Amino acid sequence: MNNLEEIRGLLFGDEQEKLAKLDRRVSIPELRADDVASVLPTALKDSHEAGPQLVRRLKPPVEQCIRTSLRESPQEYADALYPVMGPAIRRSISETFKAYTQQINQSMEQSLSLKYLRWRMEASRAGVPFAQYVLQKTLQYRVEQGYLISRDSGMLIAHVHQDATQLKDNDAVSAMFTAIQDFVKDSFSDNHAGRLQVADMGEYALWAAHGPHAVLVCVIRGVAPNSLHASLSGLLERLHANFEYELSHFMGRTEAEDDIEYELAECLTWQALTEKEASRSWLRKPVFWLILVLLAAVFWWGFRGWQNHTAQSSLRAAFAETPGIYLDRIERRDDTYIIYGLRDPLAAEPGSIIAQTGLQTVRWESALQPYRSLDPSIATQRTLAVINPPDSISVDAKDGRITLSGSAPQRWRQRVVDWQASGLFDVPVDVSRVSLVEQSALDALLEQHERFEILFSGGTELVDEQSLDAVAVVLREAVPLAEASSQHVVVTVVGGTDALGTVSDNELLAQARADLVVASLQSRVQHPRLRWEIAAADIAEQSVDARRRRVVVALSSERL
Amino acid sequence: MSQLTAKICVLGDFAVGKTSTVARFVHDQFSDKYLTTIGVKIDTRELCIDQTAIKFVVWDVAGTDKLKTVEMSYLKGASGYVLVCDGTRGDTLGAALGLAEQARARFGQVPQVVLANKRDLATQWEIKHSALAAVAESGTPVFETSAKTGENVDGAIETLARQIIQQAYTSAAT
Repeated sequence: MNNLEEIRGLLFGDEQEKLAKLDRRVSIPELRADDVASVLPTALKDSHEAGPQLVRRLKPPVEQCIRTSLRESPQEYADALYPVMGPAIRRSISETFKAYTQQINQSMEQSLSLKYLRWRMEASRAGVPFAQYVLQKTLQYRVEQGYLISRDSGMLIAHVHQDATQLKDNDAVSAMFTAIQDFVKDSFSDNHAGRLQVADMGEYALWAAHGPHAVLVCVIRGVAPNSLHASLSGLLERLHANFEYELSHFMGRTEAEDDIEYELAECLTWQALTEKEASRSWLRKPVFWLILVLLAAVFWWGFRGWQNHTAQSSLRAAFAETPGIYLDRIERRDDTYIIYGLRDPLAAEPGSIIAQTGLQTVRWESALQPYRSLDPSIATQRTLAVINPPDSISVDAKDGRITLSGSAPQRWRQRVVDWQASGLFDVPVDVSRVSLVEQSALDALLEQHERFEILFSGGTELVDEQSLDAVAVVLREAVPLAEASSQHVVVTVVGGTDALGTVSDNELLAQARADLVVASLQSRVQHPRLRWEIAAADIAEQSVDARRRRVVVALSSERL
Repeated sequence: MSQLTAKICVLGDFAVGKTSTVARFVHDQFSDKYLTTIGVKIDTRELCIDQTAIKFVVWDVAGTDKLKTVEMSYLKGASGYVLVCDGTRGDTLGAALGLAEQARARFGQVPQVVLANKRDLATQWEIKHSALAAVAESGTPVFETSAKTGENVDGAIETLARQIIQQAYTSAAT
């Protein structure tokens, strides 16, 4: 035996030692626990990553442990949770207020925006709740319900849904779906292998994914993308992989119902309608284009109306501001503006008025009737046209009054005065500053020939007939000017002598000489406008100069 | 309280009173027009039997004396059958039992009850009591019912429910 043991030890010594070690590790619980402890974390991790089986299996004992521990040691849990309870509660309150604020904002927007007011009216008209109508308008699609149905019996294995409104008996619905599917398959499928996959019902659609043991049927509101088919099939495959036994042996109940529902809830997806898609959906509607065309027509009609209104306003303003024109109305006939009203002949031409508005291209016709305008500027023009002032007259027309200044013939001025007195003018005319041409001429003539000396040789013997003729010529020229300017020509005659002789004799001689000159001049020229005056004698006191033997004739004018 | 959902199918010949009988014990879910369109109508009924809440999904299959493919597909996964015959028409009992046999051959044995309907027309009764007794002796409970008055209808359904519950627990235990 010893040899045998020795030989065995030589042949299998290493293996025996390893077996002994393994036996010790298996038989001693502490060592086995160490081994399990070394691989347990990795095993848990791998199992968890492989699927939900681990969580599902651990859930009941863990829940039981927690319940027992809470019941027996509540204070320890309270102490442990204390550091996280405060922040958690604060965060919860904060989130609640945040959500509440968002809800208020959203409610305000929904209540006040035109879009939501319109939706509210449409929802009321359609007889559906407003929230449901908003959902229809803002979602591209939403999976409302998900049925997991036993393929053979049509029994409902699990059911998930978005909200509980308008739900029928789910067992009856799933059974009816199965019955309809069987009916369709048997009635319309040649080899009875076809399956009902899609059914459309207005805003809802039924999408079905078929597996070996169960059928996943989703009720979808809106238009879902085709990629959802693949998602639903993938979900059904996972359900078959994770719950193969439960699905294949389903006979009305399963303990894994909660777990199945938990995974089935993944089918409740949704997608909001983006603004871009919303606008595109509008583009697809014929009514949008109809409205667009109508809006364009209304815009064009409005633009033409505005253009017409603007043109008429401009024309009306231009004509209304033009003196001498009374505008009644402007009518548009076809493309022609017809102007009705009254026009003074002295007012501006309609064409020039329209040109000033910048509307040279418009077509127009004048239906203006002639009339006499009392507008101050037109009345002034008309008065000036009647007066026809000469170039020597300057006109100042201001504040409905014409002031003339300068020089003019007496006859013209008198005519202006007479016409004004007869009421011919619509504005008063002031001629007080108009001097007469004749007056000036008379003044100039008399200034030029102010004084004449007519010499005597002695006694009353006149020796200077030429001077008398010269005086007569001037007087003949002055008389009509005096008549025109309403003046007299005053002829002042002063007789003179030298110092020889007595004073009384000389005074008599001077008087005789003056009388002789007056008579001589009157024999040459006689007119009522000539006023003769013989002034005091001019007798020299000492001089014997022959040039003092004379008569001085002085000419001047005097207003009547 | 444990819960159970079971599919039961109502079978029988034409005009034996299946739909009227079903209407006596279900909550209407869908219109009767489905019977004439797809040949079946689904309703439900909830019962509580010995601390077990059981919900029946009742498939009221359109009347026929022989199951065709589509009707046969309606029976898949059924936990029990309600076989309805007309007591005033002797041949309807055989038709009901024939349908049950056809289903058993395809899907196996499940609990079932026979309802001999129109008990309120006892004077016109054609089915002999001995025939009904023979059926009962074979293991299928038989009830003489009246869809008009509701007599024995609930009792028959409760009996079927007990059988289904018992079978469910038995299969779960095995």
